[in-house]
Amino acid sequence: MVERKVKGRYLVAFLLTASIFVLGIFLGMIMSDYKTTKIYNSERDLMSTFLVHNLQTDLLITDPCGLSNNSLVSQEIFKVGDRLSALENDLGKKDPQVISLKKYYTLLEIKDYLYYKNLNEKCKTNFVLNLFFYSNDPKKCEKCEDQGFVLSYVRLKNQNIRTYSFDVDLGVSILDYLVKHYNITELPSVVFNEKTHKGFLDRADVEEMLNEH
Amino acid sequence: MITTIAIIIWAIYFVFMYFVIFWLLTFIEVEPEIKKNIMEYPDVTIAIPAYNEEKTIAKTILNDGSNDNTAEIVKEQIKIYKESNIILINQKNGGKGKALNAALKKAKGKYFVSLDADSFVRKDALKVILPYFIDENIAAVLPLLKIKKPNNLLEKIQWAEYMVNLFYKRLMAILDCIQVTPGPFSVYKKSILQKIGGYAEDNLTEDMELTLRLQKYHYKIIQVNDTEVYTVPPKTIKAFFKQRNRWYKGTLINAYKYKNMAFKKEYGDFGIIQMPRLLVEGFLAVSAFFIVSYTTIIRPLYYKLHNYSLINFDIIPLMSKWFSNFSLLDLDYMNLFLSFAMTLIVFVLIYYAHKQTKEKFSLNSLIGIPLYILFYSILASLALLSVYLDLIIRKKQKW
Repeated sequence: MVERKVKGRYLVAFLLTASIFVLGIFLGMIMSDYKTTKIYNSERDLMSTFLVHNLQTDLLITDPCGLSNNSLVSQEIFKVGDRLSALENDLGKKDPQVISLKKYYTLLEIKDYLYYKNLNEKCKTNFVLNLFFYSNDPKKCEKCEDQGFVLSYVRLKNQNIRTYSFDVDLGVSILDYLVKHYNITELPSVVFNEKTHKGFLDRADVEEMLNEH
Repeated sequence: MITTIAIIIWAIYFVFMYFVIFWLLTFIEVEPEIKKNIMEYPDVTIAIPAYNEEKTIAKTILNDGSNDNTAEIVKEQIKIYKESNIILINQKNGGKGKALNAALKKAKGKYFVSLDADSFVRKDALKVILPYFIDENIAAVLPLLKIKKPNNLLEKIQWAEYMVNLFYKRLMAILDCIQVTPGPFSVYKKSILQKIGGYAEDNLTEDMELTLRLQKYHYKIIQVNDTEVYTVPPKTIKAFFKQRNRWYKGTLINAYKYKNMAFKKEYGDFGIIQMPRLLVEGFLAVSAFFIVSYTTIIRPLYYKLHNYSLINFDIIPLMSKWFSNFSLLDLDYMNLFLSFAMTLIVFVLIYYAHKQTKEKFSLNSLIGIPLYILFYSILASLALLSVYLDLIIRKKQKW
């Protein structure tokens, strides 16, 4: 008979595998921190840009209508939004860092919205401004993800459209004011050039509204 | 985001990575093979159980109740090779185990070899294998079991599978954990085979059952890597599933038969790692396959198609956005790192599998290995699933 022993590499293999996993988790955490900082900095940069622009306008250094075709923030704000969405997928929708960045981003969006609204009014520009109200809670809103996807697609096809997405659960007081102001009682809701549309709008609905515009 | 599904997937990856690292750690202990020269030429009986093997039997003889020309062809061969001492044993078809037992009864000499009628052996195989029977406890010595010239894609996948399995068997031999002495050209010490009662009759995988019995009685099995036997793999998906259904079902039934060996220290590594693995591997593999494919392929694909349906599948604007807006910041670095680590380990494994089985990197490697990595788990999982379904509905199966 062969004398048999249980060899001791089970523990070594476990420790090596666990080390690889710990290293992976550690790398993931470092990169998440880095991404968060990057978005945080981008948001602050955007806010500074807004501030400078406001000051320049107030001091009559810059003609606001002169900037209409060469917007200060152009699509940059939406790029920050895309990074934020990716971070939200990565860390989760309830992550405190994500929520904090989203709150600040909401303020930026409102600021950007007011800026372009002002441009449309004063400089006779033709930007299509959408406010998209949603909730990440599927119990509150089943169709919100679908609506977000359709609006993103339409925005990609037409650079003149500026869609601002607002998570109504964030608890931002100015946002709560907008919710009341536009009578958002149902989710998803889209405010299309100041007119509130409740419920899901498919691609054809959105494109029809654009054509009317 | 850490969800339950994410934790399950990580656990599956962890178990998979653990076993591969365990294999590689075992590999460090592989001692360089010392070529042994044959000192004596003992009598050996080679039994070739054959049931309807008229196409291959002349090349490679026990007639297990064939209803084709197998017996006539063997008789011709006996006439041609008069000096070769070929004996034809005819019996009513009763399965491979019964056929081999009939041969074992009439066997002469110290060693007994089983050879499948569709397998081909190198001329020097016995000269290489017999010197490995260096002590009384060695019950079996196995050559490398390979696929000679894989033609179609399915054969190429099996070529890669056999190579990885051989590497695995070399490692398991170090741990005294070999679970199967395959039909093609496993050489046994006849006295041990007779002592433990020969082959199990009416068993789907009599070779595995025999091996588990050898392990139960603490006999040693050696896997060599300096001679080969070539087998013909199933050429069609249907034949592949039929073969795998029998193999996997046989594995499950035999693992259950010897379940009492699991977690027993007296069986060394075989009891601690191999028996539990045999008992749960199939179920875990099928579950892991469906969880991973559902969460990483089917569900995301469903959502993608659902989203694309919302925009009437006009995906060009999305693609242009993906290219212009791509950022390294959007990547999931943890999963990326773990996938990279896993890929690297698999490549190390495949490199050593080539080395240990003395295969050169060839066109078969280039085509077979990626196909094996991509599709083998799908094929094996579907075959395993069919086994569980058969067992649930208690479908009877003959060899």
